[in-house]
Amino acid sequence: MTAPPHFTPTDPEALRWRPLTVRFSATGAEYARLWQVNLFLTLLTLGLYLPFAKARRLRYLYAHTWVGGHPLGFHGNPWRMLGGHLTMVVLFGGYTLSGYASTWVYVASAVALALIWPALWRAGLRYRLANTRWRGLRFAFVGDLRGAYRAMLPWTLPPVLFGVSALICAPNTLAGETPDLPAWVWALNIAVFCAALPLGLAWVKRYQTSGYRWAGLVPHIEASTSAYGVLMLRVLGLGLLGLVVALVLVMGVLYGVGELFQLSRATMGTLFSVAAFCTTYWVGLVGTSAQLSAGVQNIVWNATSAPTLRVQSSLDVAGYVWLQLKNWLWVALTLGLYRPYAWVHAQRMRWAAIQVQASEDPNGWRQTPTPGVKGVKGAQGEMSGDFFGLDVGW
Amino acid sequence: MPDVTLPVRWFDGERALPQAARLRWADAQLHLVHDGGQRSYAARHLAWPDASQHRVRHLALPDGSLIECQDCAAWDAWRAGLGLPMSWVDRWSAHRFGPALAVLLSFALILALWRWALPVAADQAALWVSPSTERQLGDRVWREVDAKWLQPSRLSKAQENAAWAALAPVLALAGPEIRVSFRHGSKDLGPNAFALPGGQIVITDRLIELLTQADGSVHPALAGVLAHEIGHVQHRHGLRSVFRSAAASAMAGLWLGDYSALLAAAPVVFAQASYSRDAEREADAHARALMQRAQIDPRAMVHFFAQLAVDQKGRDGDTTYLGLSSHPADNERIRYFEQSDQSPVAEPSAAPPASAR
Repeated sequence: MTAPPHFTPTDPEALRWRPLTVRFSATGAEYARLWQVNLFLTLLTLGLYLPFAKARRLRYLYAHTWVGGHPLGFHGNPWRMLGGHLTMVVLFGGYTLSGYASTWVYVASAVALALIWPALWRAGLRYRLANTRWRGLRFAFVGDLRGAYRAMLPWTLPPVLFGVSALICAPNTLAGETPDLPAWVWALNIAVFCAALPLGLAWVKRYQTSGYRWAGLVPHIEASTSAYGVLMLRVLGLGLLGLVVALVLVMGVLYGVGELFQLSRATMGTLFSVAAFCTTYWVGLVGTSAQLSAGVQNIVWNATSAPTLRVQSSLDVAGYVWLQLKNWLWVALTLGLYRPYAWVHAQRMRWAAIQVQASEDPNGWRQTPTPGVKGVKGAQGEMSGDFFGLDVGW
Repeated sequence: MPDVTLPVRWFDGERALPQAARLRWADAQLHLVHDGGQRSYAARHLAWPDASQHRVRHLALPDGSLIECQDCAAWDAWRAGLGLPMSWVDRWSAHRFGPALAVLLSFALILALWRWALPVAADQAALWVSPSTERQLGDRVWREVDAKWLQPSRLSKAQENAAWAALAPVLALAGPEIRVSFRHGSKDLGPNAFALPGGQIVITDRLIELLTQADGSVHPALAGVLAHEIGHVQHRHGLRSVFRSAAASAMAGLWLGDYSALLAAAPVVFAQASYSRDAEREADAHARALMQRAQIDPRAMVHFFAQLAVDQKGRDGDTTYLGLSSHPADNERIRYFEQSDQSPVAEPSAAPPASAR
């Protein structure tokens, strides 16, 4: 294993990289107990308990993630997270309801939501990181607001372009009709969409990863956009191939069953359409999203390093896809009750693929003040994360 | 209170170095003794860590430092010895049958919410939508549907006039928001009629042809079909079903979370179908009452179902048992219209009779 090319060691002693063992000690049975109680309380309170459930889940996840003999810790205050949760409910509720008012109000609220989304995303990252600790030292997220908007820019291009082309080529779109665009405009839109997808992913991941701080370590990420583009093409190709194979197999089996039991045409029609829908979802969506997230984990962590810390990810993509396909099947068969087990199994496989090495003794690391994060000390540290305790994402 | 100390590791929040420390509890205060000195924390400032499912005890202290104890058994014994209770959620998930009880209660709660709270809440939400907004919504859909899926009617002038004549008694009783259009539909659409939110009603050519009798007149069952569709409009079924499926998907999302949108969609499809069957029964009740007011024998509808059965062999066959069908079984509906007595009913928009539910 060699040092990253951008890192020129000044002290040869610093090149003595030692592994920090990563271990994920959660078990499905244990997590299920926690999840079941969380679920009931969330239902009982019609969702108000969600931030408390989330804090408990994160505490569990972090406390079982060991790096070099010490677990991570999540210390977010669920009461503050409740404020953030309610903010999100109001925002998204308003957005959803605005659809019933008029097209204009709907478009306006969608634009407003898109405009504040990068700020919300950044606030969530700040809160999550400011409340995560390892060896007693807080993490921080120092990405600035401008950076958040810049990172999200590629993903806002396709909808904006689509809106503009619809307005120019088909003004009746605003009356709620599907726009009738010339073929070349469609082609342009699709091309921009295909280019923006990997570009946006690259920018988002770069902004995210390079904003992390811990004990003064400044991570450096060197993943090219083309790496994400290649990944997405591979996911698309393999996903389609897998989908076709799976559909042929499932339909073949169903046909055999139909012949065997002499089922009527109408019954067969229903069975075929239900099976086609489920298979498409299962292989087409569960499979490809697992493939994508595994690929992204490998790209991001293998491209990231800090002067005294290296991270590597060697997640077996095929194995992860297979695991998620199995997980999904069990979740469906158990009406959702397998979900905590599925979650733990997926997390375990992802963590098991990560290797961390340090060239210094971690005992010597110190908290250093991070620019842009004031007063990350004591309970007020939460305030620096963000006033509302926004923790975006489940 | 016994003076018991617990050895732990302590991080001062400035250095990543774990330091040996001892914990002692006295006078409702936690005292931390480390190499450099002693710190005390009032009980009310402490957020005790979850115990039951963790392999470590982390106690974040108000001054930014952190206690880490990897000997969970010792920690729990120490804490229990001091009489410091665990949180009730923690005790619940640690209890042998607690989580299983939570699952049972969750299922019961979901069923109850599904059956009673969700439809009522969605219908209440629909009340907030003004009739003009509803009409805008429906008209938007109508323009789309008309442009994409329907063609102008191909009926002759005589056929059309016969159809209007059959509809007249019911139309005379309908409000101004009801607008009826005849359209030529695809083969899949077949003999059909549907209503959009706000009052637009569509009747396909095939349906009119199906109910046209030997003498060229159209059977009064057509008025019954119209009355049924008017029932959908009056009860705002289109709008209510939008709200119901939104609420159902929100609930399914809570249960299944991020895991999978399909799993979340499946219960919505079933809920939608069952709500839709309820809505059809409600519309049938409306139709029966309206027909009686228009002096049409509701048993005319039996003719409609008979014609439909001839037209579509195998209808009402295989999907009903899957719970996926959007309409109640034909036999049930025929029985409903057969049961009608011919005495006129005063108020068509009154709640449907219990037998219709």
